[in-house]
Amino acid sequence: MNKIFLVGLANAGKSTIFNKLTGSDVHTGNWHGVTVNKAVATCNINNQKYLLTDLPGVYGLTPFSPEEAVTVREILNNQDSIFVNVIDANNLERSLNLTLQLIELGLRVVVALNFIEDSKKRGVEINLSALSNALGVEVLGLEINTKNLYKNFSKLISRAKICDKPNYLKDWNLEEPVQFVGKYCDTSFALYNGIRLREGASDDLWNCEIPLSLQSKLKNFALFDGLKIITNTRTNEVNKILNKCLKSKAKNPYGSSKFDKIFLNKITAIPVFLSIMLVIFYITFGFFGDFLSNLTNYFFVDFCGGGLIKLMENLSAPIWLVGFVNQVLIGGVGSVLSFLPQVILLFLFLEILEQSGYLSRLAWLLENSLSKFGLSGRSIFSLLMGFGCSTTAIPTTATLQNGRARTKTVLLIPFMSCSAKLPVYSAIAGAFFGAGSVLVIFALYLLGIAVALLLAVVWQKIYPTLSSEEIVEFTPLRMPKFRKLLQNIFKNIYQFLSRIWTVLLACTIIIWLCNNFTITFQFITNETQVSILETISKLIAPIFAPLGFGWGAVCALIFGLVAKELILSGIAVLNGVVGSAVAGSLISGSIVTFTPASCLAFLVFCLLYSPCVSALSQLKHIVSKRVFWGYIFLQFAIAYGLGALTYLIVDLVGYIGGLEFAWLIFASVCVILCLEYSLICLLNKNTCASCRRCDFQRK
Amino acid sequence: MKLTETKQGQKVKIVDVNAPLFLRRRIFELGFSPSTVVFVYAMQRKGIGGVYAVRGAVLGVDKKIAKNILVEPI
Ligand SMILES: Nc1nc2c(ncn2[C@@H]2O[C@H](COP(=O)(O)OP(=O)(O)OP(=O)(O)O)[C@@H](O)[C@H]2O)c(=O)[nH]1
Ligand SMILES: [Mg+2]
Repeated sequence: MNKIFLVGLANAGKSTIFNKLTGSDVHTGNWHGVTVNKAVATCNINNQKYLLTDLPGVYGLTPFSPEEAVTVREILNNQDSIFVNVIDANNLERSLNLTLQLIELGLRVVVALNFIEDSKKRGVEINLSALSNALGVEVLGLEINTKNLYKNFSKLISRAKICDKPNYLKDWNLEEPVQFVGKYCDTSFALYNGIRLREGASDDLWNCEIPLSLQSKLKNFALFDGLKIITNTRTNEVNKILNKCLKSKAKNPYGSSKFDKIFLNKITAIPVFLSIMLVIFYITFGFFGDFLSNLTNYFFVDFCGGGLIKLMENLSAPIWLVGFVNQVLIGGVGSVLSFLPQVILLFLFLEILEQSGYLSRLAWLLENSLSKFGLSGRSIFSLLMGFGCSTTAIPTTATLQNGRARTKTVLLIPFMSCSAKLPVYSAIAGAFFGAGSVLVIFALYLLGIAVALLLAVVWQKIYPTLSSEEIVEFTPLRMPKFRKLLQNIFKNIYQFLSRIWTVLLACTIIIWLCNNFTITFQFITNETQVSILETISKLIAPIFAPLGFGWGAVCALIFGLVAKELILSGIAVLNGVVGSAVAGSLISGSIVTFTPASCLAFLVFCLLYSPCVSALSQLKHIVSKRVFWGYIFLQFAIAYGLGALTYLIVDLVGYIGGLEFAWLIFASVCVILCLEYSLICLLNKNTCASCRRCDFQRK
Repeated sequence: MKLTETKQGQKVKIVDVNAPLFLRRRIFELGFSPSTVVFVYAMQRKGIGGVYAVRGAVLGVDKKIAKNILVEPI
């Protein structure tokens, strides 16, 4: 089958065209580097079947990142296909460099100009036939939003022909290097490799095995400052072409906006970013999100679930079945459904940020600070949302195109103390520190961040992630499209739900079984019987002796695996109290009691140990099995280690009364954080951007 | 003069880029090719770099890279 490839700069609209023509649904977004892998689909054009391929955006034909290598490989290995060079009309000046490189290879190139309407509004006027004459290839305007897209595209394909190589190639005297490399590589790569040799880029040769003895000869082919000469030739050619076809230019550069005065301003940029995040956070996890969440919860759990239970009771179903449906189906699964409104809100905001083009500015602002940890500027959104809920924050990392940066972000999210842990903190800390509990809680949040930073740095040393955003292209700020918002939201909801079922259901069932059956597998019907969970807790409680936990605390922590809120309700059940009496019962209760030392150890452990099962079920779909289990183990190890350390230190220092003690804790965590940060800055001092790239390039 | 030494609102012309070959090529390709005019669109706090309009596009450039782009006033 004949092949068609969509090539062009990033954000030119290739994937959008691909989706329209083939009816596919590959991700598109208003920033650079959305597509990271090729997508293939068949397409019927002029009664002929073609294989249409969408490729990651490139700026030239020498790859700079793994994604770009995909594009270059596809182009060089399929030189007899048709290449549709998609060009954003607003960006003509910078796009033609790539077009020229395609033409130099003598490929079957056609140019599709996109965003014509948009550019006209900005005052750009392009004479298409002049452009076509100057380039020597067919040029057509494709306006995606019109019905003519398909017709124009067909026209374009039918006119594709092998183009004439430009005259300036003669100035580079390519015969000699081409002949030389031709002996060591496929003839179809000879011209490409010949140009690289003239540039002096003998490391960038494509599929070429030059004997070691001749490697030193390669330098002789390079022109003096070949890269500059070749770049200048192309730039001059582009300028000539533009002179012929560009009737009027835009007043403002593409991607600029009047809002940049505040978004990029030295002083306001960070406060504006923080306020945007705060608003999103407040709406999603504050009263509005809570309200929707409670509403869903009411509908599914109280209305549907309650009705179901009543029905079952009326039909006198066995009591264990009622318990099962109540606790597993309604309690477990229903409680996850109540996350749904917040997930939807979060995705809505993320989509808006993405489509509006603010995300590219954000990435730029934070790139410098986050690249130290191997995170990309875009990670910050997901990380901040982690303070709300890990389960909803983890899927939002889908917009990170760099696989490793994504894994890293996902693994750091659970260390951002989620909102479900807050009631646990405030009840437990409140019991011991009174007015000082706010400080203790704040210290816990900081501790979570400190641990995450430390892990990120260690990870960065072991598995370095290359930041690819030292130069960020700014996308124009656009109004998000309603239909696209809806589409994407539905897609995300589907993904969210489909991920949750298996793990969540299995875990809830296991915990339910453990809580409702005795070790001899009898259903618990009276108080005196001992459940599996209690037996297990008592069994493993000695392990937690160094942290000062009794079996009750261990049991509550196991509940916490299902959902962090259950830690508190678990304690309430075990101590036989309700509501606000929990705090008091921690000091004088029967089963779950703490000393100040063990209370702090418990809080630290709560902060750091494994996230709830719904978060884990999201996590599992993103990282490999090995990483997943390793990560859970690591979290337990950290929680245990720091918990034991806390217990030890507090025991040594001694309890010196509520508020003063809280200040002490707060101050020490702050000191830890500062020390850590300076250490990290020190470590990163001597790594320069280009050095990290060098390693990557050679691989 | 380095690109980092420019002021917001200034217009300068690129002379050359100091970087390893593959990075230099990328910087050229992104629009910072020799004798191109650069408009300093916005400057950021110390250490972050600046935002520049070049060849009709707006690009944020990290300080580490910007200080290797040599320019001359016009
Ligand atoms: N107004 C308008 N917007 C468009 C048009 N074509 C694409 N877009 C938008 O431009 C943005 C970029 O489109 P993509 O299709 O993701 O671009 P791409 O070339 O695949 O980008 P990469 O995958 O990053 O290389 C998206 O937000 C699209 O909605 C068009 O003709 N008109
Ligand atoms: Mg794409």
